[in-house]
Amino acid sequence: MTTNDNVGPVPPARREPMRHKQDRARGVRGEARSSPSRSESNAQQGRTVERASSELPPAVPPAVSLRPPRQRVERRAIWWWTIRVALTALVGLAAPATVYATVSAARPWLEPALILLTIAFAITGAVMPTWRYHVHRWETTDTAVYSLTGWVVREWRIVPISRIQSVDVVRGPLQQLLNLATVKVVTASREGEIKIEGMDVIRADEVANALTVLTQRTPGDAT
Amino acid sequence: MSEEVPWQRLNSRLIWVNALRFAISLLPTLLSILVFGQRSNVVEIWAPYIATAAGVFVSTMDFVRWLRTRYRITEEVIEIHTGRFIHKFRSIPRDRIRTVDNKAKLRHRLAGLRVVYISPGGSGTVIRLDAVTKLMAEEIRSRLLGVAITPKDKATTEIVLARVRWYWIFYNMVNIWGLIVAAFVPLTLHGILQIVNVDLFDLIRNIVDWDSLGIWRSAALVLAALSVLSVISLTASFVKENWNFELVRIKTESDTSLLTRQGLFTTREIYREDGRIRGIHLSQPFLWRWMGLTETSVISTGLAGWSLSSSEEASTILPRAPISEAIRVAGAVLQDDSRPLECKLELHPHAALMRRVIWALAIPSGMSGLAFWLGSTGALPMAAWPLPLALIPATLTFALFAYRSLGHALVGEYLVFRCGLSRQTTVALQRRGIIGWKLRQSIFQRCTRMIDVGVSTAAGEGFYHSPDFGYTQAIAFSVDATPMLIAQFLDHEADPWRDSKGHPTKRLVG
Repeated sequence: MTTNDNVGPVPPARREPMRHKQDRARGVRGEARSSPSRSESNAQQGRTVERASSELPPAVPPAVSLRPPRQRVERRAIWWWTIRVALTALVGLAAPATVYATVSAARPWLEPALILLTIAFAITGAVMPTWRYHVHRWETTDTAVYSLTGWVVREWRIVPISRIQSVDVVRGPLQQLLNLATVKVVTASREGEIKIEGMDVIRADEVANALTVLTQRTPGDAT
Repeated sequence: MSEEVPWQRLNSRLIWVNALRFAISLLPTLLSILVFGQRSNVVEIWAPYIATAAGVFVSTMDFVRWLRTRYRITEEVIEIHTGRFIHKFRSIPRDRIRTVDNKAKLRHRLAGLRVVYISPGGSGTVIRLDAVTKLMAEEIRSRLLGVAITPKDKATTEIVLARVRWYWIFYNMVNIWGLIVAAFVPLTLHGILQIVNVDLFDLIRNIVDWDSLGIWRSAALVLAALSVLSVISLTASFVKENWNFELVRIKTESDTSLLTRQGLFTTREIYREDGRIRGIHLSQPFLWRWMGLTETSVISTGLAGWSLSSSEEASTILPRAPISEAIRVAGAVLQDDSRPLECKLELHPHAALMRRVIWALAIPSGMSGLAFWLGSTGALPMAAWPLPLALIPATLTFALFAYRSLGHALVGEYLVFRCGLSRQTTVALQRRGIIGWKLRQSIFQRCTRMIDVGVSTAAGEGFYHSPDFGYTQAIAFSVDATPMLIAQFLDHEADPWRDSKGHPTKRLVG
């Protein structure tokens, strides 16, 4: 994580955000920064970029990164993902397989397609569940819900408690079988919701209840 | 309490309006019988019959609707019973009502009526009062939203932010879809002329001798004619929609609102409360970008998700106009001095350019490879395989433009995102509008240390983003935008400014 992500020479503008390091330190200790001075300094951003970069101590690689959330999902979730891939494969392969069996004219081009599809499902089923288990994480704090999901493509989502509209616990039939549940954190934007899949049922209820209480205690209009 | 509020009918002038529509719809048939009375048979003059039947049906149905509609505004809710055959009942709690806008078609304006649209914002139920008097419309609006607008002293309560300029017509004359629309003009004209038994296509055939022109000249002639028609129809529709367009800030009891008024025959008035505005959105399709034009809309919560006209959203505050004008208006709309759209944006890392260049090379190469394979099987001529490679200069140019349009900034209280090749969008969103972060990284972006950054918000489209930030850029950007939120999730061990427990290191303190 200490490598510099620069490709090519560093344009001055890219080092500019470092200027707020001290602000950030204050933010962590829980002091609200004074907003007037902030907006002043930012209002001139376009013009002061070059100046700002010269104020920085030179040659410190900007290496701050997001840490993963602290909680992992249940190991059983691997089974959940695996069964889901298997069911999808069953449905996805059934139709072309039926055509393959009945229409002989379609066989020359359907055969490679069917093989490719089977291989794709097999690889997904073998790799995805474990991979997801190693990636998926979640965390709730007094001020935010934080999740990391995905396998090939990873997604970090952060939602402030003050903007939560509702917290739902969802259990599909498969999840009921495995004693798992999904906690859904709903906000005013469809893109903004957080889904924590593969939690233990009891744990999910606890988390949802705690979040609901916290949300009610936290002022905010959720928009 | 609410039981005592009497139910009201819509304005009775609608009866006269519909009676008049009924009478007018009889005209085509009467005319065609008068003019071609003797030799008319049903097959030849079907068009006027259909026009009359449609007109009679529509006006009768509208009369039935008037008969069956009752509405009332109680202390708690607004309710309406309506429907022509199927009874419909709608109600909206009054504290949920976010927008009360009005629209008037020519027939409403002639009768002094307005159609009022009441909605809780977003995609919720819309109550349409079609129609009430102009005065009543104002009264309903001020009752429901608790705002008082006195038309008498407009000068003191209104500030004009923008007016349409006549030369904007030129920016709205050309459009790719215009040609397709123009193709319908002769077809419609043909239909209308058939009412009086004139065949338009025969007429054209008599004037122009297609055979002597040859196919290419004929095609050129048709294209030229369609272009002319397209320019005329686009100009006409721009004038019709945006006649007397003005954007004003209007003072109400509790707040100020942005109000647009526009329209030649059909007029529209749309209000957007200043307190709910979270930013500005500029949208520039490829061609307009080169002409320096943009469409301007506000990012606001509680705006009607439906639109008062098919072509325009309630959030649009300026028709297609020069970008300099849009920026000036944006500055006036956002009531602080941040001027987020005027600042210099931070560019994204060169890896973002590389990624686009690789795609620009890969897609034509892939197509070429496919063509080669198809050529070897005989499905395509073998000579076709190098053709896709000729696209490479174009795709490389696109890659460069796509990279150039990437950018972001944090200016005062605003986040600025810019991206998009076929449609460049520039978004300035207030930090208080952020209701969540979404960072996304594919495996390839992970290798090149890039990441997509997006924020979700309750306003506008709900999610705004820009792809391919440098990783450190992205973290710095999100921390600066919402320090209290993000800072707790930072990895302090990798941070040279802090020790492993997250305390600032000596270097920072000293």
